[in-house]
Amino acid sequence: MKKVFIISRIFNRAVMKAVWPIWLGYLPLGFAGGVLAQKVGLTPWETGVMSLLVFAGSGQFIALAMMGGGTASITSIVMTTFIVNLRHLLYSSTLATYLMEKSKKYLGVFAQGITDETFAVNLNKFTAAEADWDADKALGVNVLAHACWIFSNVLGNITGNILVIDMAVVSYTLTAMFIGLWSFHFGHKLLIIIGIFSGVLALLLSSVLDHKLHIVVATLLAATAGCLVESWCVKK
Amino acid sequence: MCLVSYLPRVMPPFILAKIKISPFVERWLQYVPTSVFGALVFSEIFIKEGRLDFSLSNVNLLASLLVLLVAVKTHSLAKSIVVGLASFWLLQNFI
Repeated sequence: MKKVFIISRIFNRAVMKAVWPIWLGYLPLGFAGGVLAQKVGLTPWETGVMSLLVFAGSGQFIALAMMGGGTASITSIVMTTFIVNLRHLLYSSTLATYLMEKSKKYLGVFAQGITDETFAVNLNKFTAAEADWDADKALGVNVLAHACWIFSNVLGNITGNILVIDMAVVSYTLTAMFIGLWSFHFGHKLLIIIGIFSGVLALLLSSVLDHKLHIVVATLLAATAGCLVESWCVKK
Repeated sequence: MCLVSYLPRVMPPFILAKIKISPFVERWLQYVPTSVFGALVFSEIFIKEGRLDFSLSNVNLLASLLVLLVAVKTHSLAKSIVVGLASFWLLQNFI
């Protein structure tokens, strides 16, 4: 009985409603990743294991491209993956406030499911006015998103390039999702200004910082600026 | 690869569970979501194949303005995504 209870806390209608936009993006994106993996010479099994253990969209794409290039060493592939994934430090730290009383095992499973997309969806739910979100539902989103990622990667690897996918349209699904989620955070003016500021910073930094590090640095700077402006306004 | 993908994800909750979060950090965390989204969205809209593209022919930009409008007006993620995909596809193919 206890087991059924737990499963329904993790997978339920609210979770499905939250996870579908991620599926919409991950299905074609993972499919494309699987096709790429096949071209580089990975078997469906290897692709599945890679998607299970690594679960990093851009990290995987970059790694596959480097494998395909033939010149990259294993060290440089691993280092690049590490740097690309550093932004998860930020996401994981932010979500940690909602996972305070959870066991180590729980955190261990939860952590593997943290991506740009699951972070975005879960954070929005955690901070929403309805306050109907909890760690179990967030875990459900992580696990279902991850399952979809593995499924679509393996499928892409097996079928190869039988479907012609318009990658520009596909990757736009997730952009549209981010824009929507962003706009839900426009609680007061300063939040909007800081968001735009962070965006401009990211663009400026993108020419000097590689591998998505500009996202991390822009966020750190912009959030600090937000705090400073806030305390300055309060003092006045 | 597995390890370098996992470590950044798993370390923070373990470390943060041990220490108490100061009010300043809490205030700081308030500005993280909008900053992350701003950085992600701007990068995805304006960076094309590693270069900045501010031109009006940037389909991303036009579609995104529409998405933003729909998102702010309706507060619906589903509508935002559908409008975004439709407008992106139309703009890309017919303009």
